[in-house]
Amino acid sequence: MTDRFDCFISAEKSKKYDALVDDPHSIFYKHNKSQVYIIAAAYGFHYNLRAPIEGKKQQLFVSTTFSSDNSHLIWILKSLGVFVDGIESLRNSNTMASLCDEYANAGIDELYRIHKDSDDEQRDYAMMMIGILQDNLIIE
Amino acid sequence: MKIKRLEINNFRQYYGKIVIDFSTDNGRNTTIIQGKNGEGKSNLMNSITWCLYGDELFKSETNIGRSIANTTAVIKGNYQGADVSVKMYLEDGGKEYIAERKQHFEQKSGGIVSRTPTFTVHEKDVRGMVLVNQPDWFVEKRFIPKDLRGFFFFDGERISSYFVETTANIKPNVEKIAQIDTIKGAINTLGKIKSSLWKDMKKYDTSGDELPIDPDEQNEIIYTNGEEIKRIDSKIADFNSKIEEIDRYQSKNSNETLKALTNEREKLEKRKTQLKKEIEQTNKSLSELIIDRLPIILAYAALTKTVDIIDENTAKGLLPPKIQDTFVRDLLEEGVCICGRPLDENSECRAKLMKLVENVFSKNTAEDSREGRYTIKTLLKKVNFVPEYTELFNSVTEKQSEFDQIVDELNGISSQISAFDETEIRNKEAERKAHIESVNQLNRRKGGLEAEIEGAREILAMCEDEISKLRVSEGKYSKLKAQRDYVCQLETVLTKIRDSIVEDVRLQLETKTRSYFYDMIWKTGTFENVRLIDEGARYRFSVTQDGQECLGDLSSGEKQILALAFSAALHSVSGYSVPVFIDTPLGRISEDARENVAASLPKYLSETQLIILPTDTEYTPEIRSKMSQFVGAEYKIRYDESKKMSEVNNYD
Repeated sequence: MTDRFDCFISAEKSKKYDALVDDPHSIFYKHNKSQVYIIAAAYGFHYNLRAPIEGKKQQLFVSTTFSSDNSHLIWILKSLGVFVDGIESLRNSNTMASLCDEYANAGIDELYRIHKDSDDEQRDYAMMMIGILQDNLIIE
Repeated sequence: MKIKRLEINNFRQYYGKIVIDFSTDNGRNTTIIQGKNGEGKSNLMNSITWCLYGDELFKSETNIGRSIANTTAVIKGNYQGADVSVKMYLEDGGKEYIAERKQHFEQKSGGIVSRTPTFTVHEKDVRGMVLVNQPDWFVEKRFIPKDLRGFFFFDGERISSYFVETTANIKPNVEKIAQIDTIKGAINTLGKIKSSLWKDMKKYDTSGDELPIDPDEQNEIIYTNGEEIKRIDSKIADFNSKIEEIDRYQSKNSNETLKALTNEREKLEKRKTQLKKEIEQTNKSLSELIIDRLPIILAYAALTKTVDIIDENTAKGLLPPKIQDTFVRDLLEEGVCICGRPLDENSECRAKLMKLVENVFSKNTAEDSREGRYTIKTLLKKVNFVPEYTELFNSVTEKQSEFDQIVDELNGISSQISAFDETEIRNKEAERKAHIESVNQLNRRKGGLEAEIEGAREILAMCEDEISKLRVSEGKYSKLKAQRDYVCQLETVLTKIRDSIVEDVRLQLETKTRSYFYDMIWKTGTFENVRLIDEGARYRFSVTQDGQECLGDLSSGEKQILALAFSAALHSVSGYSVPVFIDTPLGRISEDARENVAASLPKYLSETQLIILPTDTEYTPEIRSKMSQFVGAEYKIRYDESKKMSEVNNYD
């Protein structure tokens, strides 16, 4: 049922995606760049970081290319749209995708910074996740 | 390339001149040189590697610290000393060559001293024997490259180190095995052309900025570090071989306490390796868990709100819509309402229906929301990752703690061995410690070099960005840019071809090894799969049984068959037309499988000159009869205890 939508990144930042999936010391090593994009968008959303893509855009993936095993990831992106623009966002997937591009464009800088600065990415992400769960009173 | 004759003179236990004529008959490709353990089989192979490469491949306890010269020959030579020489008569496609290494040894008051060895290769032509200019290059290009010789000189007794060291060297050398040096050279040249074109392009850039980086320097780092890593890998293999030699010495020592300690150390080393793998695996699972849950947790607020909004719209009756948008659209198109009223342009009814169609959710959106609600609810159930995380984290911590404890215990064992009364044992342990420290240092150095390569690659990628930003001042720039783009494309294509050939070699090696292994192994149907897995920096063997990895649990005989299968596969895939030497091929293989292996090996290596050096217990009448159809020459090594020398005689 999902409409097709295209996700773009800044051509200038594509090296950051490469670095995260190609570096054996990265937590995202050998993962798909589309997965990194979704995490970057979610990161941008959570920390309220949005940055319109300036300069040349580069298509990263198309929503329909997700396999049925990973189709749930699309709903993470759609939920960002619904949160900002309401249910109407489901009618206009291109607007929703542009919003996600902006969140991901800001989020990727942070993921790359964590990768560069962290001594232990696994521990740092786990601590961040636990902090969010505590803020939302899911765990004590 | 075939070896017609070998002449050994005063090398190790071979006193005087020993001549061996090898079978060069294609129909009977095998030469047998039988000898008991310690009679000189390994030193015969060593004489060949010394001749061709200037060193011995197989270092045994008795050889360490001793000169290669036959002591009797040197002593008998008084102050004149004696020459040690190994001469190989070779033939290749109708051409004949003689390779010879010679070194003079003399006895002085301080012991035996030697002069620098000489190595020559002569080629026979109409003028007679003509000296070949660069004999080392001849060996490297026409015989076997030094880095690959371990695959062609095979010692069945050292099977445990084979899978650790020898196979670890396959990947770094696979370009040589695939013989794609030309493509590699072309890629390097294209890299240089690219750098040069970039510099030319920069002349036409009007930005006035200086280029911050010199790509040549980065390419140089990548190349020199890569070469250094190869040298380090080779040194690590050497040290590991020495460590194993010491372990063998200690486990064979008559001192019972030492034996017990060595056995305990072996057990602990195995557990340590196993734990290291388990820690890596659990850490991987931890990373997977984090990557799976991270976006859900980061988007938690959006996901919960989306469910609330969908529920709200459902409660309001907007989802699913009471009326379908397609139905209203049909009415508007037909221009007549369901009640019969006309829906003229600008009519009030038409305007109302138009508004309705804008507000009503489409069938797709409604279904999408329903599916989304279910998907999000499922995602939210996974949000609390803490129990799974804690379990995995604790598991890693426990394993790490056991690992650290084992390291302490290993250090304790080493200290105990170091405190032994016997000087020899203490010395060996000190040597072992020093070797381990050297391996650790080399690994650290290797890690640093790899990081530098990674950094240089990143900088080169940035250089590419810089190029795309260069501002154009003259038309010539476009021409240069077009040339450079073309070179980049060529480089990409050639790199893809190289990678594809390397992968093809891996696949062929895997397929042939599996096929040969299944043919020779006596437990038919026991092993489900044999794979050669690409782990990035190296290849690793994997054998599975009942879905479980079992390479570490294979018996020595099974491992030996796997190694023989791999050697045969490698020879077949590499296309090197050079002899294969196999020392003690059946030593660890059980009686019932020996005949199978003996009959199969020459078949797999049918295009190859095969030199087998079995012990008397391996080369039984039954095995001899099985192999007879392939054997063109047969010898026996006989060691004379009273004269402390070996000689090689015809078998019968």
